[in-house]
Amino acid sequence: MRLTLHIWRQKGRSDKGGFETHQVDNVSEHMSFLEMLDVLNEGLESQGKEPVAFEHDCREGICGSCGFVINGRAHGPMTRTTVCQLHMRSFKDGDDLTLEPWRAKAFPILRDLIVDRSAFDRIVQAGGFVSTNTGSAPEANSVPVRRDCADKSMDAAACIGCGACVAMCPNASASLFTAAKLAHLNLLPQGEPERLIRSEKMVLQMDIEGFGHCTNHGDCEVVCPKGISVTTIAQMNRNYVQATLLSSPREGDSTE
Amino acid sequence: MNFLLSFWRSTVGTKVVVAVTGLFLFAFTLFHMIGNLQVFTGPGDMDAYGAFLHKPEVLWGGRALVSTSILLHIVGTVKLVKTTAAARPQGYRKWTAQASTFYSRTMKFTGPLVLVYFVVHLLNLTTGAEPGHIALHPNYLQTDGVPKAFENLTALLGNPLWAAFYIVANLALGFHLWHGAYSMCKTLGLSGHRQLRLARIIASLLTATVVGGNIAITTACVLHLV
Repeated sequence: MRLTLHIWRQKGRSDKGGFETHQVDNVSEHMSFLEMLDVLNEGLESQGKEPVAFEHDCREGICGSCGFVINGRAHGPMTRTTVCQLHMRSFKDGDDLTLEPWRAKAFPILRDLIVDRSAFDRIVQAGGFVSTNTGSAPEANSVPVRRDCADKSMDAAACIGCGACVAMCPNASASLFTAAKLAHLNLLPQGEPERLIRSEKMVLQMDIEGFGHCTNHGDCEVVCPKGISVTTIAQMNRNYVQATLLSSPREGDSTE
Repeated sequence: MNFLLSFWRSTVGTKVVVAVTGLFLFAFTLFHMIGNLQVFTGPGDMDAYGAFLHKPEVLWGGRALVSTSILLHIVGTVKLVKTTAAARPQGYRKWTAQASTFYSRTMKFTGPLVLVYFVVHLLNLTTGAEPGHIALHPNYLQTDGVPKAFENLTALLGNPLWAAFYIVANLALGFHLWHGAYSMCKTLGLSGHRQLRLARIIASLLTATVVGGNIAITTACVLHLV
C-alpha cells in the first residue's frame, strides 16, 4: 500500500519545528508501524536526507519507549497497543496520516517524534519505591496479600510509563501515570507503611514538573496500552487527602 | 494552617476544594428548584416561602454560604485552568476525543455562562428588594424588603424573551452539573466500578431533575399556565 505521512520535524529542543510530508510506497500490511518508518528512513538516507527520529527499544510493547500521536490518537487506532505493536493492516492504501510527538510542557521535544520523559522518572524518584532491608529473599507467603489487592496492584504495575496518558489528556495531566505508580505500591502490605508520604510526595512532584490537573475526561484510560483504569486516580486523590488533611503530622515533616 | 496552604497549592487539593464547593452548589440548585415548584401550588405558598427565606438569619446565612462557595469554586478553577493552559503550550494539529465529551471539555465555558445566569437572576428577582431597588424586571413588587415572589416570577417569565434566556441558561447549567456531579465523585475518591456507575446514574437523574424542574417552571409561566 501507499501512504502519505505528515510528520512533525524538529531539530532540537529550541528549534521551532514544523510538519513535513513524505510518501511511503510498497508498505506491507505485515509491517509494524515502526518498520514502516524504518522503510521511510532508508529512503530518506539514500537521498542524503535526515531520517525521522523516533524512540524505540524492545518493539514488543513492554518497554514504553515508543509512542507518538497518529491521526489525533496516542499510539494509533488499536486499543491496548503501543505503536511498535501496531501493524499496517490497521490502515488502508492511500491513507493520510499525521504523526506528532507527545505535546506537554513537561515532555520537551528532543528531536522529531522523541520527547524527554524524565519528568516521569522524577515522579517515581519522589516516592515510587518501598524502603526495605535488603538480604535474602523472604519466605514466600510470609506476608499475606489479599487476592483483590494483589490483582489491582498487578493491574496498576502494568504501566510502562510511555506517556500516552499525558499526550491524550486535554489538560496534559500525568494523573493516570502517577496514580498507577501509587496504586501499584499502596495496595500491597509492603507499600502500606509509606502509603501517605508516598502519595503526598509523588503528587507534589507531578505538580512541580508542570503537568496539568485531572478533570476526569477519561481519554487517558482509552489510549493506555496497558489498560490502566482511571479509578486509580480516585484512589490517589483519597490517599492524598488523607495524607495532607486527615493524618497527624509525621516526624521530620518540619525539617523537609 | 501551613498544611491547608500546601493542600490548596497542589492541583489535587484545589480540585477537592472545587469539588466540595461544587457539591454544595449542586445541592443548592436542587433545593432552590424544589422550593420554586411552589409556583404550581399558587401565590400563597410561594409568597410565604419567599417571606421565610427573607428571615435575616436564613437570608444572610444562605448568602454567606453560597457566595463563599462560589468564590472558592471560581478562584480554584481559575488557578487550575491557568496551570493547565501552561501544561501544553503547543497544541496538536490533530486530536481526537476518545472518552471526553462535549460537556466535559466545555466546563470552563459553561461555568462563566452559569455565573452570568446567576448575576442576571439576582438582578431579575433579588436586588429589587434591597435598598436602592435596582431590578432588571418589568414591574418589581415588594413590601418592606420582602418581594412578592409569585407575581415577580410570573411577570418576568411571562415575557417570552426572558423565558428563552432562562431556558438557554438552564441548558448551560445542565451541561455543567452533569459532568460536574460525576467528576466530583471521582475527585473526592469514589473508585469502585459499581459505585461509579451508580454515581453516573444519580448525577444524570439529579441534573435532569434540576434542569427539567426549572424549565417546567419557565414554560408554565410563559404559557400563562400559572
